Amino acid sequence: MLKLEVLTPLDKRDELVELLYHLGAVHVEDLPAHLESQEALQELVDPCLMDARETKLALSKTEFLLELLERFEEGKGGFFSAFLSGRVHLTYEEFLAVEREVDLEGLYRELEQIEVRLRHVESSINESRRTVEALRNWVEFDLRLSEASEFERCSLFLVIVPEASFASWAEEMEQVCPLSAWEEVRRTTDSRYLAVLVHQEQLASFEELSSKHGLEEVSFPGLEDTPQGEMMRVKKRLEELETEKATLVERISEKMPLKPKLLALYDYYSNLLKKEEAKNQMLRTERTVLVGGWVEETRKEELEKALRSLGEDLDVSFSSPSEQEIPPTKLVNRKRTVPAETIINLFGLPHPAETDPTPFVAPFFVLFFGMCISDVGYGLLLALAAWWALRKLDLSAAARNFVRLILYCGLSAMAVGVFTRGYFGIEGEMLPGFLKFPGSQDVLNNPVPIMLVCAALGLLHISIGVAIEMYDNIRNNSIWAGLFEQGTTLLMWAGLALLALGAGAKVDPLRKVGIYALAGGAAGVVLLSNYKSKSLLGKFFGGLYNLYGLFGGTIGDVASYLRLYALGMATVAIGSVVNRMALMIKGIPVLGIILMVVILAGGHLFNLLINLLSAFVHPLRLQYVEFFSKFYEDGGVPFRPLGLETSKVVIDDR
Amino acid sequence: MEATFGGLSGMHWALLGAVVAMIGGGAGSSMGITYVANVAGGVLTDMPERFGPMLPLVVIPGTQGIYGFITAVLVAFVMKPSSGWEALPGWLGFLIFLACLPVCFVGFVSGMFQGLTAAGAAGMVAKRREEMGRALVLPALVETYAVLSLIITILSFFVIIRPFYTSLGI
Repeated sequence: MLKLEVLTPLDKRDELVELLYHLGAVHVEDLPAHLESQEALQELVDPCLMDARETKLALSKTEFLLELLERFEEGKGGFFSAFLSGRVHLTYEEFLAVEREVDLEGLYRELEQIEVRLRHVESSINESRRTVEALRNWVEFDLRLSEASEFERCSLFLVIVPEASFASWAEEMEQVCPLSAWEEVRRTTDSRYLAVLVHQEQLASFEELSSKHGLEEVSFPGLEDTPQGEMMRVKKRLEELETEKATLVERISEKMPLKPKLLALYDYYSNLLKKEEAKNQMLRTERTVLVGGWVEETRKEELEKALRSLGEDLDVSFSSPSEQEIPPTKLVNRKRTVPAETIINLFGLPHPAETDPTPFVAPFFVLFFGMCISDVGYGLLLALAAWWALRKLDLSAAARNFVRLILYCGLSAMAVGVFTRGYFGIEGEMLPGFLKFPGSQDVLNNPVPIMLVCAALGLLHISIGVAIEMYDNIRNNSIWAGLFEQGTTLLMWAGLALLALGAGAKVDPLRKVGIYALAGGAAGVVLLSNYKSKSLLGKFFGGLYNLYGLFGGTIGDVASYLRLYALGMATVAIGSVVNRMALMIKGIPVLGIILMVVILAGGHLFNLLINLLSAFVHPLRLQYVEFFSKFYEDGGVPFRPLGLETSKVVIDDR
Repeated sequence: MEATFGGLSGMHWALLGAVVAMIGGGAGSSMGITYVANVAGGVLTDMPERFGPMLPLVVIPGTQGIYGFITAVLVAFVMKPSSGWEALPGWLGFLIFLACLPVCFVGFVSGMFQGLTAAGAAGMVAKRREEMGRALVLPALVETYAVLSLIITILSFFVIIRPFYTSLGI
């Protein structure tokens, strides 16, 4: 990554931004943000504050319209239909023309009015529904509601009495308010709806009794007719409101054909905003502008040539970053390993001084995923689904990468399944002989060899992590740290591996070499790993402590890889339970066969889905917790060059 | 030699061991994951882009359940005498049961508390994304003891109990 600085006359600023945008090669640095630390510069220059308000406003209007249209889109479904529906494709020329074609102001004004009215109508509908619901209990009450309160000496109350306390309430009413009367309007299992007439002198006692027995007082402010009449009226009003709502929704739906254009418009304004924000990231004096940024070395010449076309009065300089400067991180990988960048991005990009771990993450993730599924049948299903999606679906680049990763994982599950004899969980005894070739193992009945393989893979995986750290140390000029801290550890693990191999295969010389390497490595850790300590005792005891930590930590790490076995076995075990259930049910005449097919299809699909989740999450954990902790330093800022970027539509010719 | 110990046969003791190991580890992990997932859920509501760093934190307390599972599988398949479960004397079955206890108890307690630690770490990552590395280290410290208990369980199986099989010829 090279640091770029361009000094240009102020009047060429827009032209320069346009040029950089079309090249798409420069990650523009936010120079004003760095000014706080450079007081001398702060006096000389002001950040140029461009007014991006109009673009922001247009963008938020477009967003509003899109949200409104999506709310009333017919047949919009969940995650999968969003995948299947395909995206909007445009040429670059069509993309640029979209601003002229859509009358954003007019459309916004029209739809905003409709939306405001719609909200009002919807809240009226809800209110009317509540009123109808409340009136439903009082339809038998045949007095007009407006007249119900017009008595000289009495007041009328509509109350709901809980059935449980009705008897005691009625009794107390007879004693406390003898000048009152009530009529039952409706009765349900747990409440009675009463119209109670109370003499005004006894109002206080009535209120007291009401709260004592938990009575609920009901009133219908604003309603005049009988409950029956009012209900009819409100229902009629409800019908009118529903009709109006349908008309409003219809009017919104009429605009649906504009949605692709609005999507494009959203991307158009987002890009416009990006350009305007880039101008805010420059520094300027009265007549000049300074642009700072980063560019990949491979694109230096192309950029230089393009900048020269702007004229002689541009001062362009390229330089390597100094030690204090942190360039943005861009992962550059081969096509086969690119899908694993998804995993790195999920965690956070590496610091630019670090080795890109993608080539190491990719094979292990795919292998571990395969071990968690470890079934040829399930692997095949996954691979076929991913292959179909890649061929038939219109996927974004990120989604393509992810699906390709799933394809590799499916193939890996098939390969592992061949060795673990996993074929849709069919049990070992029922498999044909040729599938049980020597070297393959039945996970269910013979777990130890596979557990050992997991542990060995774990040791290899974390050793690679340590080796990467050693390489980084040596590359960054701390050769001794690399050799003493990581080199000795690696020697120890290599010795351990040889020892185990020699003991397992009963090859004595191998075992001996292993012992020597292990002892040498351990001695190295004790004597050398703490070489930075000043005192001799500090070196020794620090080293001893390192050895202890190394053993404890590594045993824990390696044991953690046994999860691969456990998850693989879980897949096989659930699969075989599904098969047994299906076989049990097969005995039922006629229906048996159908039920068997249903159980087999449903059961295996269920098994695949729940295990997919763990097969994704646990290998991720092994990468993040066990592997990355050996070397990885995140904190990289993603390399995002100023250029055309669309999130809603696809531009085919760019 | 007595076929039973404390009224249970060897197979019964061994089965009991396998089951308590799974129960302890599984229950600890479930509680631990629940704690951290609650916090992570809250964080993700506001910051969906933090899913990547949250995921390993949520999974971390799952290890104990897996260790319980591995112990149970080892009992069922590896500790099964070659001449069948009937050959296992009660006292030897009881030893298998004892060997399962570290994974059961330590798995239960460390799973639960690792969940609490990971929940704290999730809060830390919510505030400061760049602290991901440190946030992962803290809950991993709790896991050390789950690992140690698994090692003791496995060592007891192979170093202490299996030699009796050879001497008894089962």
